[in-house]
Amino acid sequence: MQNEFTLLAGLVDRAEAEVEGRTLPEPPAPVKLKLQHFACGTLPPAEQAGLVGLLNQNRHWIGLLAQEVKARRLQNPAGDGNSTR
Amino acid sequence: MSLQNSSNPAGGEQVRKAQEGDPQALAALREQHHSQLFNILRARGASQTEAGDILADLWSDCVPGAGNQPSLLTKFGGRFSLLSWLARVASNRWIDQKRRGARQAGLDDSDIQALPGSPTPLEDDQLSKMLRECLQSAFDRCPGEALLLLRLVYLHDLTQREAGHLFGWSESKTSRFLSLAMRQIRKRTLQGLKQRDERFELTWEDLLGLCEDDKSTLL
Repeated sequence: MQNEFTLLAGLVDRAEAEVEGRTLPEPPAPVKLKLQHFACGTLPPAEQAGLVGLLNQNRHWIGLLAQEVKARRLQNPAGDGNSTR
Repeated sequence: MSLQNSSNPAGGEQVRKAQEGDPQALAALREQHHSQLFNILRARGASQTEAGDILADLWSDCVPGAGNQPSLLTKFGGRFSLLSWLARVASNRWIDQKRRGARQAGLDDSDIQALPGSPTPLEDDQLSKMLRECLQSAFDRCPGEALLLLRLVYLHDLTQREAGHLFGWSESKTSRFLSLAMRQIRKRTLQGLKQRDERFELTWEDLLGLCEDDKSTLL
C-alpha cells in the first residue's frame, strides 16, 4: 500500500506544485505549539479537527509534525519496536 | 502484480530470460501485461484494432530477430516497472503511427494536431490531467484524518502506532482506517474516470501503471 499511495499522492502533489509555485509559509507560533501537543498525543479532541484541516491545507507542515513525532522516538526508544507501516 | 520490477527478483529473472529470447519467459510476460497494455492504449484513444496491432508488433519485437537483432526488451533499463515502460513504448508507437498516416495524407505537423481524434502530446496530457483531477476529487472526499494519516505513514515514515497515537487510537483501529480510506480512494477514482469517459475500462492496476508512466515522463 505504501508504494501505491506514494504514486497517487505524487501525482496530485505535482499538479498542485505546477499550479501554485509560491514560497510556502512557516506555521505561526500558536500552530507550532499545537503541532507539538499533537505529536505528544495531548492535543484536546476539540482542537484536533481544526489542526487536521490546517495540515491538509498546508501539507508542507505535515513534515514538521512527523519530525516532532520522530524526535520523541529518541526519547522513548522502547515504544515502537514492533509497529507496522 | 508488482509494479516495482526491481523489487521482485523473480520478475527480474523473467525479464532477463525474455531479453535473451526464452520463449516461455516471453510468453509469461505477454500473458502478464497484454491486457493491461491493451486497456491503457484504449484509454488513450486507440481503437481495438489499433491497440491489437500495436501490441502484436510490440511482442514481435520482443523476440530476438535474425542477424543478431536484439530483443526490444534489451532497451528496458529497470528504472521503472516493466509495465510502465511497455506502456510508454506502446503509446509512443501508436502516436507515431497516427502521425505517419496523417503525413502520408499530405498533412504537416500543425495540420496533424488539428485532425479530429488525432492523438497528440496534448491528448496524452489530457489523459494525465483527467487522472489527476479524478484522484484529487477522491482525495477531497476522504475524511481529513484519513488523508493526514495516509501522508504521515506512507510519505513521512511514521508507524501506524505513532500516527494513531496522535488521535488516541490503537494501532489496529489506525490500520483499519487506512485500509478503508484507500479502498474508498480506489473506488471513487475509478468511478470518476468512468463517469468522465465511458471508454475507460481500466482496472486499478492499469491506473497505477498510468500513474507510474506519468511520473517517469517528468524525469
